[in-house]
Amino acid sequence: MRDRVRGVGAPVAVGRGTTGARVVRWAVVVLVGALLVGVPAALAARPGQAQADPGELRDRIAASTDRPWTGYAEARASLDLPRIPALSDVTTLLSGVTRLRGWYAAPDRARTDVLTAVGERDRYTTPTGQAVWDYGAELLTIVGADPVVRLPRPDDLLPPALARRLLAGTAASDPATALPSRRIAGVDAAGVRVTVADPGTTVGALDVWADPATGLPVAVEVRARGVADPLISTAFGELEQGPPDPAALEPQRGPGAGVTRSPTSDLFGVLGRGDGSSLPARLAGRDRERPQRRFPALGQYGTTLGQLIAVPLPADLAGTLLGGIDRAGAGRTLSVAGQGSALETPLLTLAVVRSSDGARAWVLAGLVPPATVDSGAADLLAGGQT
Amino acid sequence: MIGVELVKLVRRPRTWAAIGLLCLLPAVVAVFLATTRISPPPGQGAAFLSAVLQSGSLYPAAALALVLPIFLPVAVAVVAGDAVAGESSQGTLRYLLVRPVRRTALLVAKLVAVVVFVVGAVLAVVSTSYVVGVTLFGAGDPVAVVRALPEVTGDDGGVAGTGSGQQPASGPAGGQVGSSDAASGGAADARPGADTGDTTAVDPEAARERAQSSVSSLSGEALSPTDLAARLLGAMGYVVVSMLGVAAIALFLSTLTASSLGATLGALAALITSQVLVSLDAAASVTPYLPTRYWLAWIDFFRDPIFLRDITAGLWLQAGYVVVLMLAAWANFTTKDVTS
Repeated sequence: MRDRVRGVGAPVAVGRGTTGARVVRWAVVVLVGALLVGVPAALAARPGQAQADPGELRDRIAASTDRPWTGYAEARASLDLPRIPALSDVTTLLSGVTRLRGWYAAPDRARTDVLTAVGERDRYTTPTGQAVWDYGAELLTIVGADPVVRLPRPDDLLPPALARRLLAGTAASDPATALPSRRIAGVDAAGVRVTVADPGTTVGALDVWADPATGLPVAVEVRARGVADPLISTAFGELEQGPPDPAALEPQRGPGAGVTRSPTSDLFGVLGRGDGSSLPARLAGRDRERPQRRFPALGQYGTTLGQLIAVPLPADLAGTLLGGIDRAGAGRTLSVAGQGSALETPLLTLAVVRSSDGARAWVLAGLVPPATVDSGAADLLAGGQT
Repeated sequence: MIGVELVKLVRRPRTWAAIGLLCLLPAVVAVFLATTRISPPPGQGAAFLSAVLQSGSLYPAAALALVLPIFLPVAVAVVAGDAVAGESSQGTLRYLLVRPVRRTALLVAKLVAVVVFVVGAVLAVVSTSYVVGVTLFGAGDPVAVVRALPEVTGDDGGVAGTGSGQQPASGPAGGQVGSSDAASGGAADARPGADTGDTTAVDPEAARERAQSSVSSLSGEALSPTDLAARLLGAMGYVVVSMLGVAAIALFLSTLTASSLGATLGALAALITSQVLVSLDAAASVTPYLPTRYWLAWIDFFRDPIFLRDITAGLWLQAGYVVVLMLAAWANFTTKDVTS
């Protein structure tokens, strides 16, 4: 049948002179394609014009806590931590891309959604506390209070939060230099680099881009000493400055979903209520800060970027964490009197230390070099014995 | 011309077989879910699959999530890949073109037919899965809704202000969530007890109102049936548009070759390449241009407030693919010697 049909008549040709038409038509295709790819790319890449005195910009950023906004940000952290059971929230947060949607009216009126392909996890901050909505678990958790010293969580990676938190840990004498401006989420943002002089921390420099008019940070890059690429970078993809829709700030509970109350949403919040007597007054040359009320077992040593955090661990959790670090195969065994394993990245170091009798154990963390962790671990083990 | 193509589409048994198979997959999944009541653990598996156990009216969304990654694009690639190449390989194209038909018009008619197929397929999947979902899972569990009545909303102090009086009601509700997570058959057993226990204290009027909106958005906001329908319509429209890029790729390839299979497989190869690159961090510089980059953004219709960023980007991206590839198809097809 097919052959018979093929045999009939002449081919349907478009005639002569079509080679020219063909070239013209393909040229149109190529041109349209190039425009569609090129114009948005060129618009995105066009340089900003914003200029600001770096020192002034730094002050303005620090004072931007009362600037309200609504937006969407993507944070990319490449610390490449292995997944450790009991700490998986933190390890995944610091080793991948987090998509965040935020509404911010005031420090005590805010909401951050962590978006995933199949759901979301929303954290509401209200004047009376916090509420966490987990779509997957269909559960709204009303949280009493989290301590000041706590594990990193997704909303810490929003550009304004990250910039203000880290800049607060720098010294006033750390030099601030201007960076080329960038266009980020519609903002012509001025950039400032604060180079950290303190040798006690792994943080080499903080690059922050902010709206020069309001001081609201729109992008942050955290650089470690001796590493070329930023290890944490976060930037708004969409931003609207001004008060957010108040309706978006009300915690919602889906029909049929449960509600629980929890005194804290943070592992350190639970551990910090324990007994802090095994924490020495001084660790790796850093003095202990006054512990927060109700969290006597949270040891904060220093207030700068080079601070160390030490928290006593119950024996079973210490065993789980040590096992997890060993299984991940990425830990460094500490040469201390007891048992110790450290997860090291160019930026963050997290160690679990246990006395040789297994009775006392701590988690030790900070943006500090390995030597500081070693000396901190030794101090912890020595502290309780005297 | 368009009419002729549509009649051709409707008359082909293959069209109906493809739509039937697309509807079958969600139905099979629903039967397994309904008989075992084992839902995927939170945060894993296809979107909405855990939520449908509570209300079948969400099942159309779950069905979209099931067919979107593979089955729908395959069906679209088969139909669009066959559009021109099929005529060519059957030897009918030259007769078609001997008639006073402009080739551009023919291409447009083919594209319209493919779009109609996509719309029809998505509509069929959504409507059959709605029927299947409501039949197997019910249109929302009113008891669960009534239990959820003491809402954690209201004034500024809303969170702490839920107060002690409302606390007892939330206890059992939390328990029920736990049991459905653990995939026991507890939901059905819990009904009689809940009827006598929790409902006595609440206003029946309010309970009815709340029972009607027994589906929640991803952000926990209760969705009324109209709201849900509107969001579902938005998601369907977006899924249809997402398929246009595949259709354009397959249609373009279909003008290059006389083999429908070649065109279909070519389009699928392009999609798989795109899927691989989207998940590759190293390819971050090109991901915004990949056809499958924003495919999953339809789920953003179910967030609160609706998150339009990726949806808008996805619409522009698909429009770009359709424009460029249809232009390429036009450039190739209108200047091509048709020999078969």
